[in-house]
Amino acid sequence: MTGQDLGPLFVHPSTPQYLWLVGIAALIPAVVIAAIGLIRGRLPAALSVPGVILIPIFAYLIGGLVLLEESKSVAFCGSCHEPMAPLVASLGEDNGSLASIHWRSGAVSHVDACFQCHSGYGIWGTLDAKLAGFSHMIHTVTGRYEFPLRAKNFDISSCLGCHAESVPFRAQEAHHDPELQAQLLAGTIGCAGTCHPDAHPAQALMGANPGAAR
Amino acid sequence: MRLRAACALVLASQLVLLVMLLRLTGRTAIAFSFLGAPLLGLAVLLVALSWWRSREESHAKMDRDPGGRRTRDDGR
Repeated sequence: MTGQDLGPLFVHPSTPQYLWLVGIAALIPAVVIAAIGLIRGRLPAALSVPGVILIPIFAYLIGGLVLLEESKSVAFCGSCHEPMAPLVASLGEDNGSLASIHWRSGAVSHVDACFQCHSGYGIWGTLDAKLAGFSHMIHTVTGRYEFPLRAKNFDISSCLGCHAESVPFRAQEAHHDPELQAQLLAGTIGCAGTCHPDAHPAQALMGANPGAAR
Repeated sequence: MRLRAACALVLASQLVLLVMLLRLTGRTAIAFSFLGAPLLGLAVLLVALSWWRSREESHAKMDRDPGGRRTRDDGR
């Protein structure tokens, strides 16, 4: 049952994004000028550089900004059917994974949960997440990825950003161990799969067709 | 010819962009990044090449006929 079915109280307040409209507004003159150039084989000097270079590049930059912003959404991550869709589908299941626990308790936003946990804090965390997303696109195009999927260099600051100041986290004696702290901060061990449940269920990491796993 | 090719490439790249803006998925994002962007880059390269060639040609013309402008002025 979705939030829409339950009533307005259950609908996540969303911020409307209008940047894509700016992209379309920039795209229209670029298409018109390029079409004129294609049909007539020439363009007035005043139109050739803006029409064939500047406006299309501007439209593409806006498209890039839309992509950077909208690619944070869970729906976007889940749109890559083979590797990611099972992971997104497993978020709502009661499977005991950390992702499921956070999702079901509402500890992470249902709009951009993937981005919240898979990006570190601050601008560098966002940049790292975007670079990782770009490498995911390359892996998807080339088909060079292996199941089970593994997150490389998971940034523990994603966990600490919320948990470091929580009272139960601070009260837990195991977290006071200096050696454990050093290992966690060095990235040699992670929270998930060590003391806490796995981040995602093993089955979901095998892709949409586990029988045909590479 | 080069301008026509550049315009065709711009049209193709903008079509890819339009599809991505209207329906953003992993597939359209990949097309935007790995198909549309190179097409647009190629179009810009063609326009730059066209501009450079026409500049070279006009320089060569001036070298062959350095007094061309003065002759035209004289004729007024």
